[in-house]
Order: sequence, then structure tokens, then C-alpha cells
Amino acid sequence: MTDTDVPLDYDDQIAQLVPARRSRAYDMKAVIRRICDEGSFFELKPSYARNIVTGFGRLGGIPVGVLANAPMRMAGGLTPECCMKAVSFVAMCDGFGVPLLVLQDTPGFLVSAQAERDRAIDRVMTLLQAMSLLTVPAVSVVIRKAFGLAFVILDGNRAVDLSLAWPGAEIGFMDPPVAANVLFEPQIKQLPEPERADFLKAKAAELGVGFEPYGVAANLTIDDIIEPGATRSVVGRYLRTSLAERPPRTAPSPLASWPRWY
Amino acid sequence: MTHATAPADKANKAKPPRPTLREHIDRLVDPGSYTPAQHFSEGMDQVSEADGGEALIDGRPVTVGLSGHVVMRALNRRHPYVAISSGTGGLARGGRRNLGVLDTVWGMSGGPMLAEMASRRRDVPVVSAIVHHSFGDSSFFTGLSDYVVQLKGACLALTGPRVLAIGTSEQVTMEELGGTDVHRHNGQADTIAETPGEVYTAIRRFLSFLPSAAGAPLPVTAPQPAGPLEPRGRPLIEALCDRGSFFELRRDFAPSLVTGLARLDGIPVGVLASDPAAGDGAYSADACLKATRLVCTADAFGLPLVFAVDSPEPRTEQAGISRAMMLAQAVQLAEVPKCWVITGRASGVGLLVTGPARIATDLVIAWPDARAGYYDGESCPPDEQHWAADGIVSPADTRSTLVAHLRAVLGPAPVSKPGRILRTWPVGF
Repeated sequence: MTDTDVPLDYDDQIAQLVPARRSRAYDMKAVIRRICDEGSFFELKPSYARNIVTGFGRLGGIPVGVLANAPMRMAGGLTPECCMKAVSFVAMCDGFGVPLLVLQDTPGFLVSAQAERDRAIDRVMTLLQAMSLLTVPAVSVVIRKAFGLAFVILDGNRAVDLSLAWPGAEIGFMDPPVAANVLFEPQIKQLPEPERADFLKAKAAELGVGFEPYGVAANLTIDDIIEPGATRSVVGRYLRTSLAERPPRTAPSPLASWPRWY
Repeated sequence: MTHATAPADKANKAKPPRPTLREHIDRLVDPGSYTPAQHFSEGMDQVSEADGGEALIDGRPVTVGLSGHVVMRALNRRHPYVAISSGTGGLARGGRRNLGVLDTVWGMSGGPMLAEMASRRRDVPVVSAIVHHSFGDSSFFTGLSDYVVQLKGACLALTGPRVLAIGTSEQVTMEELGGTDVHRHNGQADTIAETPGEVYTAIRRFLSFLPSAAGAPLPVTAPQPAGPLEPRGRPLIEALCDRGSFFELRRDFAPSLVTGLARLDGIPVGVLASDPAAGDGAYSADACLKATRLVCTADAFGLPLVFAVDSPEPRTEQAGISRAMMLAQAVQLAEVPKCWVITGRASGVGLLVTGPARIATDLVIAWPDARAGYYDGESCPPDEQHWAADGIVSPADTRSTLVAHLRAVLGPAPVSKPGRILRTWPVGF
């Protein structure tokens, strides 16, 4: 199934598709199309739970399942519905031995009273379960930001084969402005009202330093930082080698028997 | 606060102080049986002298811990784990130093992110008791638990109202966000408890039906007589099962299907009975979720399944078909003995899960007035020509028929079978 003739060249255009400012939206599908072989991306369930994108593509001729956040939709935040869309897709990829490519850019799971009523805990943990049971080669790339439980889960419960980030990525336990507010609440309360905003900003910036990918890579949370233009070639070459080394399956994966519907 | 030793809220001086972790454990387990694990969280902001340990419940070993802590001890020893859940999880302790430390917290405490828990294989029963507000990994752990009991007044949610207020500007109370009225209706709590005492009783009862681990003998007890004969719903379950043995799960979620654990002639079973008095007994989308969770739990721990079916033709409903197909798939994959009693209408999804799931060890019996057919208009009475019933049995003979069948297929010393396909299915449906 591998077509080694498909070139995996450096792509000097892809970085322009992603705005540096964290709050600016962009079209993740355009990024996916540039990483995949030209014209190969085939989206599944495009109108359902649109905060997350699922589909098949090819990378250097190798079929690959792509799971990606969609910053155009609610900043790429994940709803309980998104979890189930992701679960059924991941289970299909794993069931049929199709490698998985995860592209992350999400503020995390969208929390609200409505989400809790919609069984957010069960949904989120079902996605954790699915990602933890993966047997196919899996690569995760943090494009711009990934926080907390969402990062841990989309990173295959920290067990993807290859965990990568672009140089401008932010990776941490919670979006820094929110985290500063939560962590430093006692100090904030003791400050006079006019000083609070500056204090918060300073604390968020302090936390943000720890979210830069070089520190995150230094403590082995991710494997490597790659130039955006190298994404296609790094992932493509990894898939070629890892699939060549892999012995054929002798038994179906656990996810092969998972429900197709939820 | 992460630790159950926190003093009671100053605003609520009238209220008695919340029990500590140790007090919860001592009241839950057999008297004097608790042995704390020497588990020191060195280097953390807060050092706990013990996050849990081993004890006996009804003479059987279990590990009990705070919010998923020391769960690895239960997985290694192959006996049940009980989480006494309360707290915000790793954030407060590990957050300041970002993910590296957060990993350490999760790794050390052995919570939901532990690879062995996250890829849950249902090797041992796992229980969560929400005794106080539970966010972060305390709440995550419930999504991987076979059984969740929530104490009234405790909030269960991914994250607390404060983070919501800061992050999304949504203002909600603990009760509105994840109180018992939320989770009794969405099915995320199997049992709602009014008092801590009810929490302990519920955990002990739940575990009393299950083997200590997949592959271990079923906890069969001395047979008890059944209740008086009743045609439907909970009274029917009481009439088929040993008197007083029925332990209902998710009572207020999808009430058209009553589910729970019970004993049939001393043998623990999973029971699913249509309740025509609630939602016409339909296998609604939610009822299918409710059923699927029980089918997976029962199969993982070797409990036979007994369905009492009186359900109407299908109605148009969001996700109705997909959830029905999911339940049908679970029922097909379940390897435990499966018995059906058609008490009334086997229509719609009721027929769907009954019909295609038949394998050699299954039993399908019908009451004389039963009718089957996907749509009510095309239903017909039970006879071997029209639909495959093993026999027409009078209501009075139903219990003895089920018992004889289960005794025959299970043998004198029933053992659960490890390694079933459904053991890796999602836990939270």
C-alpha cells in the first residue's frame, strides 16, 4: 500500500495558514490538505460536531486517519458530541489498522452546566479509553495550543508513538489566563481592585513561559519540536519506517469490536 | 481541597463536620479490617500520611483509596477498588510547575490517567463514591468506574463553578452544575444516596453481587423464595428473583427500562425489565445506554442476563436507531447466559435485541398472551412457526424455568470467564 514515489518535500507555504495570534481562527482543513498527498483528504461526518475534523487521507501514499481540532468552530473547544465523533473514528482506524495523525489546536473540553447534563464525564473518559487502547502507529502534532486533559487525551494518554509540536505551540495544564485566576485566587483577593488586572496579567505571562514547547520538550512531555514545513516529511517518514517494521496483526485490536454508533 | 481531612465550611457551622477519608473508610469496611498503605506523597505541597489501603468488605479483600489513589494495588492484587472521591485532583498540587509535575502527580497517585486504568479492561470491579465535591481527576475516575454512588450535596463535574465563572463567565451553583439532580437524570450516577450511611450500604451491596475479579467464582448465596407474582416492572423482578435481592441501578434515568442486579436461586444476575407504566416500556435511546452499561458489566464479571420484555414499536427519536444498534451489538458480543422472558409486546428494539442475539445457550420464553413483531400492527402470538421461542411458559412457572436453565448452563460452581470481548468496551454509557 506504500507508494514510495510520492515525494515528502519541505512545505514552505503551510506556516502561513496558521495565524500566530492564539485567538485568531483559521481553516484547519487547509492545513490537513497541505500535509496530506494532494487531493487525498476525504472528510467524514463534515456536518456533525464540527469543532473536530475526522477523515482519511494519504501521506506519501500511506492511508492515514486524521483527527484534528477546528479552531473556526468555538475555537476548537471539544463538546461531548465531538468526543463521540472522535471515538467512533479512532475505533474505525484502529480496527482496520490505519495509522492515526492527530493535529491539536484546542483550548480544551468546553465546560458548562449543559455539557455536564450531556454526560461530559462519560464522553470524555470514553475518548480517553479509546486513545489508550490504540494499537496503530499514531503521531500527534500540537499546531498552536493544547491544554490539560484535552492535550493528555489527544496525545494518546501520553502514549502516541511520536508527540510533536510546532515552535510557537503552547502546551500546559490550563489556558494561562484562566489558570492564573484559579491558582492565585487567594493573593488576588487580598489586592485592591485596581491592581488585580495587572497582577493577573503578570502571573499569566509567568505561567505562559512554562508553556513554551522547548521547556515542555525538555521535561520529555513531547518528543520533538518541528518546523511547520517539515510536518509532512517527518510524519510521512515516520509512518514509512514504523509500518515497515511492524509485524502483521495476529488478532483484532480491542477497538475493532467497539460500537460503531453511540 | 484535595484532602478529606479539610475542616468543614466555616459558613456552615451548624452542620456536623464532614467525615475524613479515614472515617469514611472505617464506616464502609468490616470493623477493624483497614490497613493503610504507607504511601507518602513526597515533594508535593501537601503530604498525606495515607491515601488508602486494604480492607475487607463482607470478608472479601478490597483496596480503598482517595479519588483513585493507590488503585494499582487493587489491579495488582486482583480485587475490587473503591474510590472515596472528593477534591480537585492534580491541578492545585501540580499546576504551578506545569505538565511535568502534573504527570508526577497523576503517576504517583495512580488516578484515571494510569495506563492500566485508562485502557480499562474490567479485570476487577471499580467503584466511585462521590462523598464531596469532585472535580478534575476525582471526576474523571467516575467515568472509568463500573459503579458510581453520589451523596446528596456533593457536586460531580469535570471542573468546578469557579473555573466556569472565570473561564466562561457562566454562573452556576454546585447543585446546578453537578448535583444529584443532574446525575440522577443523565445516568452518570448509578445510585443517589441521602446519607453517608446509604453510600456505604450501596457499595457493599453492589460488590456483593460480583466476583472479586474476572475469572473468579461467582458469589452464589443460599436460595431465597421469590415475591408474589406480578406482571410487570419492579414487582415482576421481585416475583422472578430472590425476595429482597433486587438492587436497582440508575433508577431515575430512562425509567421505561428498569435495570439492576439481583439473585435467582442464589445466583447473581443482571436484570433488565421493561416498565410499561413509564414511557410505555420503550427501549428509548437513553434506555439503550442504560442497558448497554449493565450488559458490559455483567459480561465482564460473568453474571447471566435476564431480560423481561414488554416494549412497543419504535418511535422516531434522535439517536434512537444508533443506540439500539449499539445495544444489539453488546448483547450479541456478551458471552454470559442470556435469558429473555417475553411478557407482553416484543416490538421495536425489544424485538431487535431479542431476535438476532440468539446463540446456543440462550433461552427465550414467552407468556401465553405475548406478541412479537417489529411494528405493533404486524405482531403475532408466540408459536415456533412465527418467532423462535423456546417455549410458552405460564407466568407462575417462569422463575422455575429460568432457574433450571441457569443451573443447567452454569453448573454447580459458576465461575466468571476472563478475557471477554466486552471487557474493553467503554465503561460510561
